[in-house]
Amino acid sequence: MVGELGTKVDRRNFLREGMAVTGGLVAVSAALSPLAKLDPEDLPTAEQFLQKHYKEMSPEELQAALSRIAKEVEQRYDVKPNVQDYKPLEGVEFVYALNLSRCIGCRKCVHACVAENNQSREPEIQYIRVLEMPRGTLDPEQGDHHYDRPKVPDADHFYMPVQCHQCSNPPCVKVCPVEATWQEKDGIVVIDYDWCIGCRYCEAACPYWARRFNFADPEIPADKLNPDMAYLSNRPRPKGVVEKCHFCLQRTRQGKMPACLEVCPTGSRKFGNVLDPESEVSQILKTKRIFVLKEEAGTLPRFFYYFDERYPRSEQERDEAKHGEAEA
Amino acid sequence: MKGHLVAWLVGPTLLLLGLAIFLSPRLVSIPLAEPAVVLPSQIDPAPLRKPLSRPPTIRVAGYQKNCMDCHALFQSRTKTPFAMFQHREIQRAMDHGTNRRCYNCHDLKSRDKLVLDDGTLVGFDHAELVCAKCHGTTYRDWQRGAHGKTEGYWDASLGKPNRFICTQCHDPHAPAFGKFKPLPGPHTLRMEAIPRTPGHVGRGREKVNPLRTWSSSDGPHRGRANPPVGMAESGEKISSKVGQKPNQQAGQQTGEEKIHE
Repeated sequence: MVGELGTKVDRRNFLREGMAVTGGLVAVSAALSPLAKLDPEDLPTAEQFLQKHYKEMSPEELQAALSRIAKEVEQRYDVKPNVQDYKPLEGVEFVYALNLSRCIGCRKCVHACVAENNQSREPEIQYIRVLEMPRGTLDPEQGDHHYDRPKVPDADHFYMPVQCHQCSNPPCVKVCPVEATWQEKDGIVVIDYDWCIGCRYCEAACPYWARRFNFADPEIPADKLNPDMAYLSNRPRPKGVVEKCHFCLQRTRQGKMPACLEVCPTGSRKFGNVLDPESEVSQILKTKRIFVLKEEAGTLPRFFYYFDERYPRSEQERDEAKHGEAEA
Repeated sequence: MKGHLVAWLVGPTLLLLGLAIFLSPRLVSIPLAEPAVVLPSQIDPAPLRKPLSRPPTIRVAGYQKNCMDCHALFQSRTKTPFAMFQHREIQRAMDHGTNRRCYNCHDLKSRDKLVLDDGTLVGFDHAELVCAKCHGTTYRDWQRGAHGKTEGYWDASLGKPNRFICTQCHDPHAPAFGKFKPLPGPHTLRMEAIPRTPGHVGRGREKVNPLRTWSSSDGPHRGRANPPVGMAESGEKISSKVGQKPNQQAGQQTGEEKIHE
């Protein structure tokens, strides 16, 4: 027998072509098999899909988005949240200052931030990264991110917490292809989590390792959820978006201090409005020898570090002072 | 003939590779770490020491006594230090550098007050004036806000900022800060995006297949108050979400202690 295209239709050819077609079908269905496991809850709803960019939403649309988020949070965590949108305060530009002579590297700020801002516990996300720096250098590349001593501070190191510096010339805002992140009037660089496409260009562009990506659906224990949420800051994020420190705008735009500052046991963190000449941060910028990280990158951060007149005393110096005075 | 040789090499190699991929969940795994355990008491923003608005009382023979209860009756020695039997715990812990004379800060006559260099008495709630006698540069920094802690509100028009005085962080008899155990830092083994064990909010497994045969449907119960029952191995179809009583117990997260609020 001869087939239509001139090939011989015999058993061998039939079996061979049949196996090829079957193999192809099997391969295609295997490739499509994850669709069978698709959870309809993971698909966006119509209103979520059609939601506009934060800057383009009318007040009514924004309220609708806030109620949608509140409903989703209540459904998932069984906690009634208070989801608001806080606009920047007038005449305010935030500045953060940090006293490196006082930071002891306890990482309380890291976990207060995790608790306040509903960050994923697994996989773990921490906005603040405390670097253990060897004495004598201010280069953050020399810092150890993973120190874990039985007791801190260690005498031969000082500790430098790094988080988003809300730069005045932010590279992350420049590289975002969809303008999901931008800088607001009070200096905070914010992210619209419903607009972010998760390309992570911003994560690559940031010189301070400030940005974090949600590789998986964030896991937050329901009893640890902070119900006071804001659209641009600490509402639970979806999988596949980038997040970062936002100076706790759900607190600071109501005049409160950020969570990291509240918990710091040594008071090394300072926060305030730099446009107010009497504020703590203004006085620090005027009187202390402040510096910024990676100044050569030209990012103009609004996070300033300073030392007091001397480093924290080392163990040796303290012992000498003690023994010397006992002999006297 | 050469083509046949190549085919016989390539085919079985690919077959073995495919088998390896399918069998790897049983052969290859990477370790995971438990979520970091941080107790609420460890991130409590309360000040390290309680504010002292009144002079502290001392427990003598079962009674709480004010300073002047005893010191109005007994005259104190002027030469210090000497062996005290009532304030022994302070004497033992005394670690204020070269400042070892009690009357540098405490008034000889009025023991419920502190004293400045010109003899002016100040209450314990203004101890910063006493510390400023010697630590002038630190006091200057404190006045500017560069030293010390202000919590609460940065905007005084919206709320009350709470400026801590010296004794709310520093023990005046042993002012140096003690050491802390650092809380958990970043750990790559806690940053893995892993499939969840069905019905279990915690990790529930110590290892994971690095080739990740999981999808978004694994564990719709994640973090949810109503985990479904009857979930089989990940990869099987989820039939329905079964409503359950919300589980708010601390047991939701593995390895976590009970929270005492």
